[in-house]
Amino acid sequence: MARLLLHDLRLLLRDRLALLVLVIGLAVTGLAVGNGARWIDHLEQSRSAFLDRTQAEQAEYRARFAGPDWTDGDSADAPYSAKRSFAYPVPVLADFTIGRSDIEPAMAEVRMGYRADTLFRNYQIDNPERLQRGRIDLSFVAIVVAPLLLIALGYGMLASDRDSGTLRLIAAQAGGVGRLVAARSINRLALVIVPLVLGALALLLIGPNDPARTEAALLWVSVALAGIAFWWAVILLINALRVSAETSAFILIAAWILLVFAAPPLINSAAQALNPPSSRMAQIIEGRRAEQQATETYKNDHGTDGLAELQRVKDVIAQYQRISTAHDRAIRPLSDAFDLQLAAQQRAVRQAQWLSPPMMVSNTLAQIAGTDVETYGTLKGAAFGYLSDYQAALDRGIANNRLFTLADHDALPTFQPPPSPRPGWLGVLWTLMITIVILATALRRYRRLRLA
Amino acid sequence: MIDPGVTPYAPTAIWLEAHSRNTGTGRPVEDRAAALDLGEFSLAWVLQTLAPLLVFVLAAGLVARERERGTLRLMLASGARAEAIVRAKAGSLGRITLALIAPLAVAGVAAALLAPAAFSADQALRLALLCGAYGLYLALFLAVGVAVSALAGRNDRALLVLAGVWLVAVPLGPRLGGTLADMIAPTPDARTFWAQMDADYKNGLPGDADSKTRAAQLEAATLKQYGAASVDDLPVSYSGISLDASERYGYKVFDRRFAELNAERESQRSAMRLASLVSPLTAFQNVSAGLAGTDLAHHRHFADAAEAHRRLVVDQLNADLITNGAGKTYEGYNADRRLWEVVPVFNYAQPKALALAPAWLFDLAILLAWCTAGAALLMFAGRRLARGVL
Repeated sequence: MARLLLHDLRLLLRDRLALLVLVIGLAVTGLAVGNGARWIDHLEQSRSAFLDRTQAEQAEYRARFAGPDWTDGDSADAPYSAKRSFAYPVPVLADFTIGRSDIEPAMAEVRMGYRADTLFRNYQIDNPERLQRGRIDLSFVAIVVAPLLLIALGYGMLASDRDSGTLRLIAAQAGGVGRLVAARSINRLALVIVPLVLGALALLLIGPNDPARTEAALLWVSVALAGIAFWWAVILLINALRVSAETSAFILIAAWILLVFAAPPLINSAAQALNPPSSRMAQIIEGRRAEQQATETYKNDHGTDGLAELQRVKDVIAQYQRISTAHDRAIRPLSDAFDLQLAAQQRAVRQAQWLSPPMMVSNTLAQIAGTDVETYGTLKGAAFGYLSDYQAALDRGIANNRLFTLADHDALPTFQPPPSPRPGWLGVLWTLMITIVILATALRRYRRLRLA
Repeated sequence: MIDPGVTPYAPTAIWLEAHSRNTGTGRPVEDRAAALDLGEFSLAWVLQTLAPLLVFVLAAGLVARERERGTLRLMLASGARAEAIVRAKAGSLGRITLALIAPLAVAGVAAALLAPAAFSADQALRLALLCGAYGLYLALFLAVGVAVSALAGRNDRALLVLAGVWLVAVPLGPRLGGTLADMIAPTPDARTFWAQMDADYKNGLPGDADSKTRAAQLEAATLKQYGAASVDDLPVSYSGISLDASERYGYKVFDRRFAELNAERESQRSAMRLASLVSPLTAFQNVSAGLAGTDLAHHRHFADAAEAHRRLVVDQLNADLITNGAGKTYEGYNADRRLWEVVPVFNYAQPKALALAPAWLFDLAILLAWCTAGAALLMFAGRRLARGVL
């Protein structure tokens, strides 16, 4: 078997197409590694710069609060002037799968009057044109590029020999179709898998020193290999059919387009068409209307003219907080309806993904990396929960109708990131199951081929 | 309706308020549910990504199959010129390709019928130019497809080579551009961007004093202008003057930082154009979105118009406070209906089809260069075919 492997490898490396595949594989993986390493570094640096800056500001604020120049007026204003900041943890494998980490907000400041719809603000400064083009990451290599490279290497693995009438001869020399298929499979798979695994290893070595990364990277590579195994099973099955190399190439490319290239936009569009969410503009307009109404009500009902300065500040702050609460209450039905539709869209996409194993694998890779829709949904939920806790703490302070103290300030809640959701393994199991069925069918056909 | 361009990735609403030039909110892409982002399903997506592949699949066997069956040798032996055969094959596929552009025209007409406003001459011009641009784009793939079919020895090899070309041109090319843009001209972190503006405002732009000094200078200048001893003696609202000065300094800061941001975006566009060396799609996407009115230039045109309107409103509000707020606190001053009636409503006028053409003219030149190269390749393949077969 070893001699057969070596012989096939020599033949393969003499093939210009195989060399081209190797060069493309290495070049794209190299780009993915470079880009991934740069991206996670950017995320780490942005996060630490933000936390350093905001924590320094908060320390300075606290020092002033504790200092001799702090007045009662400052204490009255403190529920408004105090603030907290938080940042999501950097996704464990954001360098492997960039996923949603380049569009989702990851850090914010929290203070009085901030609401769920304005918690994350002005983070959308990325160039839309750049976002439209996307990025090359290792996930893109595993899901999009690797299958096409495998198709290029494997479409005529047996079909070409069958076309030229030499299959029986070559199979006899190799000691059977099974041995021939095994030797050719190992070499061709190695040509595609080795750059990918080397890329993953490189990212692991140059990336952040986080013990959780090793386990996650191992899982990530295993799932990526499951996706590649699926495609190799399909290639073996097509080669086992009595079709020409041309037809084999055509079928495989069509399958790739359908499952990898066309399925995601089509499924997304269908999910959106079936579950159209209310307009974000409607939420903004309703929020603004509620804010104006609440402002007028509180201004008219709670005039502050004539009050002592300290009481006036306290009243203004209490009004501000109530206006914010009224606004939140007003837009909640709309935002709840929006979230329900969004959840329905996500459910529809999750269900439709069963039709496309590559989409399943892609989703699991993003889950392992911590850059998927569910993880960011969980983080966003935690952020909104934290905002609610923060505002509730302020509400309690305001209800007491006493001056805000340093102890109140220190007791303001801090953000605790939730545990990451566990990756859903059903999708990978489904992919493996399909792979095994396809592989078994292909092997059965090869056995018949040998007996023929 | 035809090409969403950058719309799914760009903010859809801008909140206009005093003190801050907001960047916008509500990017549709944030509401997308799938992990794998390979584009937005639209007519443009089909024509830009799938139509070239269809052209390639149809082109792969056009000459290669004749060669495999031996009919090519027969045709050449009977006196047909190789170049003429290749031209005829390209012509026949061209007619099929033309049919691919038909849905574009149909969608354009449908868009016109469904649109609330009447179909304008500008829209007709946009549609005609779009059809022409897509014709050029698909003609390029047609030329490459037929040329590869003529140059490849076997049909399956032609198909594989063309699939490889498509892989590089369509899924890889634009992503390569995006990756290069990130590496060459990375976008600043949003928080740092805003923190820089806060610092600019507080510490002053280069050559300017810090905010405290500016405030002291303003007070001194105002008192001198009105010959008053204190701000309480002023015949106008000093709060308004101070607010107005603060806003106007903010405009300077915003102009500087947003100009830097726009310059970075231009650098990114240039970096993305580097991918045009391996794929015409990046350049073509700019042309298509530019003609559809959904490119970055149109988005920026809207954002700039919104900012101009914001400044107009803020200036009006501050002017009213200066005049009518003398001797009153912020809470004591109330703008009445008269003011709100003179504040104009934001009416945005979409620029004409060719008004923002400079943003994509270079991309059009790139597309034309690709088409010239494609035509040259087709001619080369025709000449080579005769030598290779006979």
